[in-house]
Amino acid sequence: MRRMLVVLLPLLAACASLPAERGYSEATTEVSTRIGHAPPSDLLSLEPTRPAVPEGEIGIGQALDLALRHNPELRREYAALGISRAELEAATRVHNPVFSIARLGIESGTEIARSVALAFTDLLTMPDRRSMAELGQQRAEAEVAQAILKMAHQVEQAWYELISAEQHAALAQLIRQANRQRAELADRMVTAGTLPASHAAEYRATAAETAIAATRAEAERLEARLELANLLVLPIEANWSVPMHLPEPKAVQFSDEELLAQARAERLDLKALDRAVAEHERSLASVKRWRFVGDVELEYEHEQADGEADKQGPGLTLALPIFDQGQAELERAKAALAGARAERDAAWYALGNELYAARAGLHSAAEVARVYQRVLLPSQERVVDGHQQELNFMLKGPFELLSVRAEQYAAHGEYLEAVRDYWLARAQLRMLAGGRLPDAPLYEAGQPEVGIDQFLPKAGAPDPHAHH
Amino acid sequence: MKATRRNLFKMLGALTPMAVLGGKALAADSGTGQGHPPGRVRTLNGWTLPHRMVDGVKEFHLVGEEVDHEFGPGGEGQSTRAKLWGYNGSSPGPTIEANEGDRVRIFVTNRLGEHTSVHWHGINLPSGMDGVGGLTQPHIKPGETYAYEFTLRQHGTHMYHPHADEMVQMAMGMMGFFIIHPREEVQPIHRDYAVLLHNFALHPGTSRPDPSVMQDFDLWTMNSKVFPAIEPIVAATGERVRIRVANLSMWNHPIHMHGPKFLVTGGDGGRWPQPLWRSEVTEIVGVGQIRDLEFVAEPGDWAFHCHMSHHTMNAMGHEVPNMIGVDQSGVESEIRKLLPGYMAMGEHGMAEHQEHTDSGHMPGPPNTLPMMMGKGPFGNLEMGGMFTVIKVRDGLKPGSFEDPGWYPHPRGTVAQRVSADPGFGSPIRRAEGNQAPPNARLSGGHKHPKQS
Ligand SMILES: [Cu+2]
Repeated sequence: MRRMLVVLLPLLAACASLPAERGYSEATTEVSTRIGHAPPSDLLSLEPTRPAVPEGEIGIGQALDLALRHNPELRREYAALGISRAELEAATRVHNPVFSIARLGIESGTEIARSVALAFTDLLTMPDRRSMAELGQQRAEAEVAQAILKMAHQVEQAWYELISAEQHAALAQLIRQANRQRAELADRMVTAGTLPASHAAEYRATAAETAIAATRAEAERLEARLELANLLVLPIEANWSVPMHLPEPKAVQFSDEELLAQARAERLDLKALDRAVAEHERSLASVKRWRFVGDVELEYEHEQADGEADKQGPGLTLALPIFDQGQAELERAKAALAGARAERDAAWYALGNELYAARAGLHSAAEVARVYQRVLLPSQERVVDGHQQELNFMLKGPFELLSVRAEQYAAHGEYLEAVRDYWLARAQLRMLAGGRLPDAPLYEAGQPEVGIDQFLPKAGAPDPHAHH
Repeated sequence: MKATRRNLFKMLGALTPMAVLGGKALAADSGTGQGHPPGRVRTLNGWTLPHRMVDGVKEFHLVGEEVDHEFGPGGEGQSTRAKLWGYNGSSPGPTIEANEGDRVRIFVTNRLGEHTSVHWHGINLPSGMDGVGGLTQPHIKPGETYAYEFTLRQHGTHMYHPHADEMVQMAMGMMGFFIIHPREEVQPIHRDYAVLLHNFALHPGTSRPDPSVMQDFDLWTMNSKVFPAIEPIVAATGERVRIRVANLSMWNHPIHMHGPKFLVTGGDGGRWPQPLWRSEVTEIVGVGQIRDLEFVAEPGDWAFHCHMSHHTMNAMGHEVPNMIGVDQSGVESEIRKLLPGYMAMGEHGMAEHQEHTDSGHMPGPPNTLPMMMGKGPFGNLEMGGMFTVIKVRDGLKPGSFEDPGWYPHPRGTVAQRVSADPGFGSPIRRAEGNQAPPNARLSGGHKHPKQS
C-alpha cells in the first residue's frame, strides 16, 4: 500500500500542466481560417493600448485588425477562456492527500499517530470530469471564436454604414446646393422683377427643407462614425477616414445546399451547442455511474507508541447510499441535458430558414442594386441630359434642370444604400454560414468603386461664355 | 420600298387607270429632283402634280400616305425630320393646276391606315364631289381609290385637304393647293408663288406631330418648311409677282412683306375686280383663308414673314422663367459645379442665343432645330418658322429661280455705325426712362465678351 501511494501521488501530480496557449490558439485559429484576420493569441499578455491613429483611409482589413487587437471586449472574451481553462485544470486533479499527525501521551510515554488519507471519489470520477471539462473547454473555444467573429461582423457593418453615411451626407449637401441655387436664382429674379416674391419663397422653403435634411445627414454620419470609432478604439474627432467608395455588388455564386452544408460544418455557435449537449450527456452518464457511491476515502495510518511495537495499516471510509441515492443529481443532470438538447435543436431547426431568408435577402439586395445601376440611374442621367439640352434650346428653365439634378442625386443615394445593403446582407449571410461563404473563403474586400465621384465638381471646367 | 418621287411615278404608272388609258404625254414635266416642274405656279419647296389628258378630261391622281419629311436642316448635325401624312410623297401634297373651264378627274388612293376623303376647298362643284366624308360621300377606306370629277367654272387660288378625321389628318400635314388659272389674266403675272401656312406640334425630341395640340405649336411652316429651309422668293426687278398665301393652320397669320407695298388682289373667290385691290404691308390670312398678294419687284433682299413674332421662331419654351434683367453672376458658377453644362442666358435678352446654339457647344434635344436660325451677310438673322426672303435682282432671267445670293447693296445705301459710345449725341430722352445708358453694364460687367 505504501508503495502504491508512492507510485500514485507523483502520477496524480504529473497530470497537471495545461499548455499556456491552450484555448487561445484554438479560438484564434478557428477565426483566422474563416476570415483571414484574428486577434493575437497572446492578447492577454499584451499591454492594453489604444491604436495609433491610422493615416489615410482605413480599409476593412485594417479596421478588423485594429478592433481585434485593441478592442477591450475581446479581452473579456479571452477571460472567459481562462475560466474554462481553470475548469479543465481542476478536472485533471484530485484533492490533495491529507496528512495528519497526532502526538498522544500514554502511560508508557508517547504515542505518535500519523496518517495519510486520500479522498478517492475524485480519483474515481476523474475520467468523467476530465472529459466533461475537455468538452467544456471546446465549447468555450467555440463560443469565444464566435464572439470574435461577431465583433468582426460588427466592425464590418459599422464600416459599411460609415461609408454609406459619408456618401449620404455628401449627396445631401449636393441636393442642398441644387436647391439653394434654385432659391438664389429665384431671389435674383425677384430683384430683377421677373418673379413674384411669394413664388421665390416656395423655392426658399424647399431649399430650407433640403438644408435641414443635409444637417440631419451630417448627424447620422457622426453617429456612424462614433460606432466605428468605438469598435476600433479610435478617438472620434481624430483625423482618420474610411473610403468614399463601396465595392460593386457581385453575383451570388452558390446554392442553398452548399450554403447549408457550409453552415452545418462551420457554425461555431452550433458547435458550442453540440459540445454543451455532449457535456451534459457525459454528466448524466457520470451521475448514473456514481449515484450509489458517496465519499470514499482511503487512509493509511501508522502508530508508534513507546514500548509498543509499531502499528500500521490501511483504512477505508465509505458513505452508504441509504438515504440519498443521487436522485437529485440525476434529475438535475437529466433536466440540464434536455435543456441543452432543446437549445441545440432550436438552433439547428432555425438554421435552414435563417439561411434561406438571408440568402433571399442578399439576392433581393443585389437585384435592387442592379436595377438601380442598370436601369434607374441611366434613365435618370438621360433625364438630366435631356433637360440640359432643353435648357440649351430655351425649351425649359434652370429650375427644372436643378430639380431633376437633385432627383438624380437622391436616386444615386438610394443606389448607394442598395449597394450598402447588399454588403450588409452578405456580411450577415457570411455570419450565418459560419464565417465564410462558399464563393469567398476568406474575408472579401472588393475593389471599391461605387461612390459619388461623378457628381463632385471637377476642376477647370471651361467657361461656356468663352466660346464667342 | 421607299417611295421616292421618281419611283413613285413608276408605281403609279403600273397601278393607275392613267396607265391603262395612257399613251398620252404628261402635260406637266415629272420635274427635277428638287421638285419644281415648270407649272405656272411655283410652290416654294413644293411641286406641281402632272396630269394626263384622257378624252378631254384632265386626270390627276393623288395618293394619301405617310411621308418622311424634313422641316429643315440646321447647323452641323441639326435637323428636324418627321413622319407626316401627305400626298404623293410630300407635305404639302403637290399643287394641282388647271384652267378655268377644264373638266378634271381626280383619283384619290388611300394608303393610310384609316379612311379619308378629299375636300376641294373653295371650288364650285356638285355637292357629291365636295368630299365631306359621311356627308357627301362614303369614306375612302384604306387601299381604296375614289374618283372625283367636275368642271372648273371659276379661277383662283384654292386648296384641297381631308374632310375625314380632319383634325388629325390636317395636323399630320395633309393639304395642298388647287390653283385654277383664269381664261384671261387682266394684268399678266411674271412670277406666281404659292405658300401654304401650317403649324405642327412636333415636340422637341419627337418625330411625329401631336394632333391633340390646339394652339401651342412647335413649328410654324410655309409649305411645311421652317426658316431657313424655306426657299427664297426670287424675282427680277420690275417683274410683277404674285404670292398666293393660304392658311390651313390653327392660327390667323398677319403676313408682312418688307420693301414694296403689295396689293391684295384676290382671295378664296379668285382674283378680285381691279377696283377692289388694296394696298397693304400686312395682310391677315385667316384660318382656312386665301389671299393673293401682288407687287412689282424692287431690287433688294426683303423679309417676308408672319408678323406674330413667336411664329418666326422654331421650337421654344413658352413658359420658361423670364431671365431678362436677372443677374446670375455667382449663381451661375455655383450651378456649374453641379451641372458643368449650365450656362446663364437671357439677362440682356435672347440675342446671344443663336450664337450659342450655332457654335455647337450647347446641343439641343435630338431632331430639334434651334429657336433662332439663319445667317445673313451681316450676322445672325435670329429667325425661324414662317420667314423667308424675297430676293429681287436686276436682269434675272425669266423662269430662273436660282438663289441669287445676298443683295449687293449700292454704295452708301446700308445703315452704318457712326459711334460706339452710348453717350453719343444729345438725343432727347424722357426723364422717367432716363436711367443709366442701357449699355453701361455691358461695357462694365458684361459676362459675354465678344472675341474676335
Ligand atoms: Cu403667324
